[in-house]
Parts: sequence; structure tokens; C-alpha cells
Amino acid sequence: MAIDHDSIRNAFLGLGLVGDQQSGILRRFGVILAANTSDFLVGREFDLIDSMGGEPSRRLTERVLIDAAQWCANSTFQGIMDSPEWKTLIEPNIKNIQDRLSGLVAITNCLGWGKIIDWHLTEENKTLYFSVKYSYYVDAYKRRYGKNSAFPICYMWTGVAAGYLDLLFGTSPNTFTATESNCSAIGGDLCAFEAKLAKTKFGFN
Amino acid sequence: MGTRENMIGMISINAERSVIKLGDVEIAYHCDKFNTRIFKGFEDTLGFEKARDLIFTSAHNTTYDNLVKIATGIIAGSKPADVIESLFELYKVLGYGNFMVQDAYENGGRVKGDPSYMAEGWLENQEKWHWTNRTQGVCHEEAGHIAAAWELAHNLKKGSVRVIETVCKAAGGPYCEFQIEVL
Repeated sequence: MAIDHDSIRNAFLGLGLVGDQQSGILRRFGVILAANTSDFLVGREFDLIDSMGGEPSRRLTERVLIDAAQWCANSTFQGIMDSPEWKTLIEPNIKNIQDRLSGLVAITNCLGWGKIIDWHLTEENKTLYFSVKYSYYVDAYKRRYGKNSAFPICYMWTGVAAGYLDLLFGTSPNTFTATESNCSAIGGDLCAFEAKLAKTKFGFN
Repeated sequence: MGTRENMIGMISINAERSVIKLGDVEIAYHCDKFNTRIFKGFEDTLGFEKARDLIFTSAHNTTYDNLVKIATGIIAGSKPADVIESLFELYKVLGYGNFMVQDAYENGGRVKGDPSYMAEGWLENQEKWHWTNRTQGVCHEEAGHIAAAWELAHNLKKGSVRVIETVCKAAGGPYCEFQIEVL
């Protein structure tokens, strides 16, 4: 049976995405969640780039942001896959690695990051392609700067693309690396990500 | 409906787009792994003080601007203590933790966070990722959220208050505590 994204979304949202009435802490799927405005999530990343001197050191700063997301993807989604909610809702329908990725996409699409609308995992080559519509980076960037970007900006998504593969193939973090091959902050309405085995440490391929 | 129910009612989910909003403001959920890793990356890159100031300022500015958009009904015409209580209830709903005003005086105040999201997240991951014990706080984004709430409650301009975390559970404290100073 294929992974039913609508059922997963309904079940996930049915768990209630709000903090506990007493503690204000939101534990779901084995992790502690918090909701922040996309203006803050994106703003802090561009504040970091700016504070590092902007363009000359941008590539290095981007690696810091992508690396954080890649570690996050590995740990977060491993925590999610270990959780009782995943074991009940999703695991029974997983027959292979493609199903596992599909389950991860279904959960990812519940978090307000935008929507993965298309994905392709090639097991032989260990590569992954996916595209995202409505990435939260795009509007937040345009609100902040009042214009399109000259370069791809969806750092969290880039780390997640590589993190998915680290997780799916059971390797240590940073075994894979990813790039954003198209970003709708530059133009168009889709962001696209491609992940593959890293040739070097820290993803400078 | 009570305050909490009103706050929860402000959250809407567009499943077709996978976009979540609080009122008209786009929000997204991230977990302790991502937020603590990002924070660690900032500290490793900038050092403690610059990272603290950057995260505080970013959270402060964006929270203030967005609360002005979505919380006018809470803020307008209410007493400062009531506004703060309502905004802290909103922070609970968003998963930031449980914040309580301990003292309020003319030029500032003191807020306790028990618990506070970032401290809980840090402690959750510290051992797993072999991070050393801290002597300094981690709740800079919470400090920014508190600053925004304090300014709006007291009808102050953005940037009128400074909030410093003086006790942090991630650095061995029994809870987190924030000192507010009106500049």
C-alpha cells in the first residue's frame, strides 16, 4: 500500500501543533517543536551572512547554515522515525526505501516549510532530486530586501536534501551533499534540490 | 472562548500549499535539533556575545513587527500586565515555554522562564552531540520575544528595552530568568 500523504497530514495535524497548556513545550514525534515566523527564521540567517561581511564570505557562511540543517534532518527525522507516532501511522505501510522517503516527505509537508511536490530517488547512484513550491524563504527574503535574490537562498532545504540521503542510506551526517539548482527567490515558482555522495568533507564539491 | 483558545484559533493551515499562518503572518515549525544546531553554528562563527546580540535583535525586531500586525486586538486599550499575560500565552501556544513576570517596575522588570524552549532543546542534545557544559545562557531568541512583548505592552517603541538572560537552565540554573531594562 502506498504512503497516503493526506491521511498522514490529517493524523499529524490531529495531534495538535500547540505547546502544552502548562509548560508551553511542544513535544511531538520524539522532538521538541516551536513555531517561529518565517521572517525570523530567514532573517537570522541573513543577519549572519551580513555580519560575516556579506558577499565575500557568503559561501562559507552558507555552509554553516546548510550544515546545521543537514545535522537537523538526520537527527530530527531519525527521531521522528523512532517515535511511537511514526511506528503507528506510517511504518506499517513502508515496504522499501522509496516508501520511507515518501513518508518523510509527508511529514515534512506538515511543518509549514512549503511543499515538496515532486521527488525522485535513484537508489543505484544514491542521488535525490526534489522540488518545492512556496518555500518559506522566498517571500521572507522579498519582504526583507524588496527584490529577487541574485543567488539561491533556501539553505535549510539544501541541508534537508542531503540529510534525507544520510538517513535513508544509514550513513553518518555529511556523507552526502546537496545544492539548490533552482530557486524561486531568483525567479520562477519552484525551488529544486539535488543531493549526491560528497567527494570532500563539508560539501565543497 | 478563553485566551488560549483564541490564540490557537489564530493558527490556520493551508494544506494545499503546506503553509501555516498565525493571523496573516507565515510561521513554520522547527525542532530543537535544528534550532540548537543553528545557534551553535552562530556561536562557533561569531563568538558568544555577537551571536547573542544577533539572535536577540533578529527575534526582537521580527516579533515586534509581526505582533503589531496580528495582536492589535490584544494590545489596544489593555493594561500592560494583561497584554503581557496574553502574549506569553501566545508564546506558550507557539512552543516557546512558560514565561511569568516576577517583577515589574518603572524602568524594567524580571521574567522567569520555566521552562524555556532553547534551554530545554540544548539540554536535550548536549550529551548526544558531545557539547561541553555551558556557563552562558542560550535563550536569546526568547529574550527577543520578551523584549517585543514588554515594549508593546508598555506602548514603547521597538528598541526601547534590552533583555539579558541572567540565569539559564542550560548553564546549570534551576530555571531561566531574564532582566528587562528600559533604555
